[in-house]
Amino acid sequence: MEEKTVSRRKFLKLAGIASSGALLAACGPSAQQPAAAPAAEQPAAEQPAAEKPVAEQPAAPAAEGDKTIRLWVAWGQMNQLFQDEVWYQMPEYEEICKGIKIEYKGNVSEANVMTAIAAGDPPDCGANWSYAQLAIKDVFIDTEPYIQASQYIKQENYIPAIWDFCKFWTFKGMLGLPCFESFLDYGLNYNTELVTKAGLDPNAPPETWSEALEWHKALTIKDAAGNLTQFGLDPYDAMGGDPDGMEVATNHKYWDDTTGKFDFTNELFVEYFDITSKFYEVMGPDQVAGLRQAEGMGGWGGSYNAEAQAMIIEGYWHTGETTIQAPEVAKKNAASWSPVLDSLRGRRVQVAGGHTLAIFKGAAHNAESFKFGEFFNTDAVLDVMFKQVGWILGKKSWLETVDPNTYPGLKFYFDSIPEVTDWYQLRRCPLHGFIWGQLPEVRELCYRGQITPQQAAEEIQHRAVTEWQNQGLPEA
Amino acid sequence: MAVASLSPKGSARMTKGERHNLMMGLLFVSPWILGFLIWTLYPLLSSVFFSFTRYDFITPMKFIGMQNYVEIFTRDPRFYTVVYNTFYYVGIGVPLGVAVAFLMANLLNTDVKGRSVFRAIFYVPSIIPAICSAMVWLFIFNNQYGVINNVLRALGRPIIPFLSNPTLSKPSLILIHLWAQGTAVVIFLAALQDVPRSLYEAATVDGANGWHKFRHITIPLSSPIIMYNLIMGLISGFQTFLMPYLLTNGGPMASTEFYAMHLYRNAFELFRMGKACALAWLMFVVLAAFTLFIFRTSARWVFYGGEK
Repeated sequence: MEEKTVSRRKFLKLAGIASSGALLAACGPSAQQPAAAPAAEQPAAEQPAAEKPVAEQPAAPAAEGDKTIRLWVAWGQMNQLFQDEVWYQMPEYEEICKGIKIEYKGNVSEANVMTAIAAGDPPDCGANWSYAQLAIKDVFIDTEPYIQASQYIKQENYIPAIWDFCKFWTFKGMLGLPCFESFLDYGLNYNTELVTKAGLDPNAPPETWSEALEWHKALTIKDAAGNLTQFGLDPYDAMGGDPDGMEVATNHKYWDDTTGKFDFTNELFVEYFDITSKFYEVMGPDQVAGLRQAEGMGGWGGSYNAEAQAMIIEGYWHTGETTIQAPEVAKKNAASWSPVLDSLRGRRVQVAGGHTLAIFKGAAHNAESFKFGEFFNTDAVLDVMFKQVGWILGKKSWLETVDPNTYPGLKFYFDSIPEVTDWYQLRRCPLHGFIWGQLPEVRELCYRGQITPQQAAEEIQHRAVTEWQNQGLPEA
Repeated sequence: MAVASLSPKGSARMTKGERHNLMMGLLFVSPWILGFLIWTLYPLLSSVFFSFTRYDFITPMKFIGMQNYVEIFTRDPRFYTVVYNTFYYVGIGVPLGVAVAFLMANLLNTDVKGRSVFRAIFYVPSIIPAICSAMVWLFIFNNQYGVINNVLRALGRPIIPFLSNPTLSKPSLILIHLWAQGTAVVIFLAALQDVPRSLYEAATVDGANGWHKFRHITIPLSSPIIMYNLIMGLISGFQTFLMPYLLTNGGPMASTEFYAMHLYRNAFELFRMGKACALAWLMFVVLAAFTLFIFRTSARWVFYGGEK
C-alpha cells in the first residue's frame, strides 16, 4: 500500500494558500450583513410617507427569518432587563417586533460608537451620547417618514418639549424618537430629615440661589478641626455637572441654536459664577475636591445617596433611581424647583427631554430599529421601565396611568408641568461635551479666587468660540 | 551586501539551497514582518499625515497643513498647562524615582536578614494592576476617608488635602510614582550584584570608607543601568496617564492634567484625531531630544567596563 505523505514544501504551499484564502475572506464582506440588506432597507427612511414603510409591513422581517438589531446605549441601568430578555415574553413585542432579536450592549462610550461608525459597522440604534455632536457628523437617519407611517407614535401624544428634543439645529428632520427616559430634568431634591435637623422648613424650599446659599450654610457641618462632614449643595453637581445647569439657574441659553453663537459673557452668567462660588467658600475648595474623589459628585447622585450632600439638583429620574439604589435615603426625599437667580424670582424654569432612540445611517436594520422604538414606547414597556429602573417617558396617555406618588419627590415633577414659565431642551450645542469638559476647570479657578466671575465667563466664552473655529464647525 | 553574506562561500550568487533557506526564513518571519508593517509602520506613517488634517473618524478628512500645530501653540487653552504639569512631573519625579530605586537596591544588596522578603515587598507594587493601586492610594490620601487624614482627624488636626489641593496634587502623584519603583529596583539589584567584590576589597585595603566605595565604585559601575532606568523613566514619565486619570481626572484646577491625558481627550473625547496626532508627534520630538541629550552626555558620566 502506497503511503500518503505531505512534503514540507507541499505543506507550506498549502498553508500559504489557506492563509491567503482566510485573509481574503476576512477582508471581504461579512456573510451576516450582505450588501443587499441595508441597500434594500435604507431607502425606507427616505421614502415618502405615502409609502408607509414601517408600521404596515410588520410581517416582512419575519418572512425572511429573524433579524437581529444591535442596540448600544451608554447607560448601565437597563443591563439586567436586557439580560433577562423580559421583552420577548410580552405580547406587544410579538405584535410589533415579530421576528426581531435584540443584541444589547450597555455602558458603551461615545468613542466606541464613533469607532464603529468609522469602521463602517455602526450599531443599528442607540442612545445617551452627545446627540448634537454626532448629528453634525450626519450619522443618523431622519425618522420623520417612519413616524408619519407609524400607528404607535403620534406627536400629539407627547409633551411638546419632549417631542421637540428630537429636533436639532445640526440635523434636518427628526432625530430618532423619544425613548427610554425623557421627561423633566431639573429639580432641587433635598433630604427632608437633614433639612429638619438643620432647623429648616422642608415645606418651604429655597427658590433662588441666595436662599439656597442660606440652606447650604445651615446644612454644612464641619468638625472641630474644620473638616467637612456634611454639606448642603454642590451647585456644580447639578445633573452630573452638565453645563445646562447654568441655563436653568439664569434662564439664559449659553448657545443660541438659531444663530449658532455663544453667549457666556452676559451678566446673568457672571452673577451665577459669583453666587455659586460662595457655596465653595463655605465648604472649602480642597474639601470639596476631596469629596468629589470619594463621594461621587459629578457622578449622578452618589454623594446624595451617601447622605454627604443634603440637596442635589437632578431630574425626575433621581426619585426612582434613588429608591432603587438607596431606598432608605429615598424615603426622605422631596423635590422642588431648581433655584434661579434672585433677579428671576418667580420664574419656573424647566428642562425637557433627555433621550431619543437614534437610528444610524449605514446600519443594516433601520426599519426594525424603528419598530423596536415603537415597542419601547408602548405602555407595557413604559410600566416595566418605570417600576424596575425608575424611568419615565413624556407620553401623555401613559403619564395619566402613573401614580406620581410612587417615588418620594416624583409628584413635584408631575405637578410642575402646567406651572413651567420657561422650557429648555437639554444639550443642544455640538460642543456641549467640550464645554462640559472645560467648565470644571474654569469654575474651580473662579471659586478658588484665581479669576473673577467676569473673567470666568470670558474664559469659557473664549474657549468655546476658539474650539468652534478649531473644529471648523459651520456658521448658523 | 546582504545576499552575499548569506553565502558561506562569499559568492554574490546564491545556490538553490541557500535561496530555499532564505525563502524559508522569510516565510517564517513573515507574520512578524507583516504585523510590523500593518500594525506599527502603517499607523505610524499615517499619523504623520493625519497630523496635517482635520479628521474626526467620520466626516471626510481635510488637509489643513500646519494648522493643528499652530493651534496647539497659539489657540489651545490647556496646552501650556499640561506641558508645565508634565515637565514638573518628569523633572522631579523621574530623577527622584531613579535615585530612590538605586538607593533601595543598595539597601537590598546588603546582608540584611530576610532580604528576599524585602525584595518581594518592594517588587509587589510593580505587578499590582494600576486600577487597584489607584484605589488603594485614593483611600490613603482622600480627605474624607483616607487613612492618613482619618488619623489626623482623630487627633483633632486639620487634614492634608493631598490630591485635592492644586499645590499638593502633583507632589502626591510623584510620591505614588516613587512607591512603584519595583522594576527599576530589580534591574539595579542585578547590576549591583555584577560589581566585582574585588574592587570593594581593594578599596578597603586602600582605606576607603563606605561613602567612598559607593561614590567611586558602586555608582560608576552601575551608571549604564542608571542611564537605562533614566531613559525608561523619562519615556514613561512623559506618557503618564493612568494614575492621574484614575485618581484626580486632571483636577483640581487642571493641576494634574498631563500631556498624555490632553492627547487622549482630544482623540477620544473630542474626536480630534488630527490634533491628537500632532500632539503625539510633538511629544515624540521632545522625547527623542531628551533621549538624544542623555546619550550625547553619557560619555561624560556613564562608565563602560573601564572606559568612559
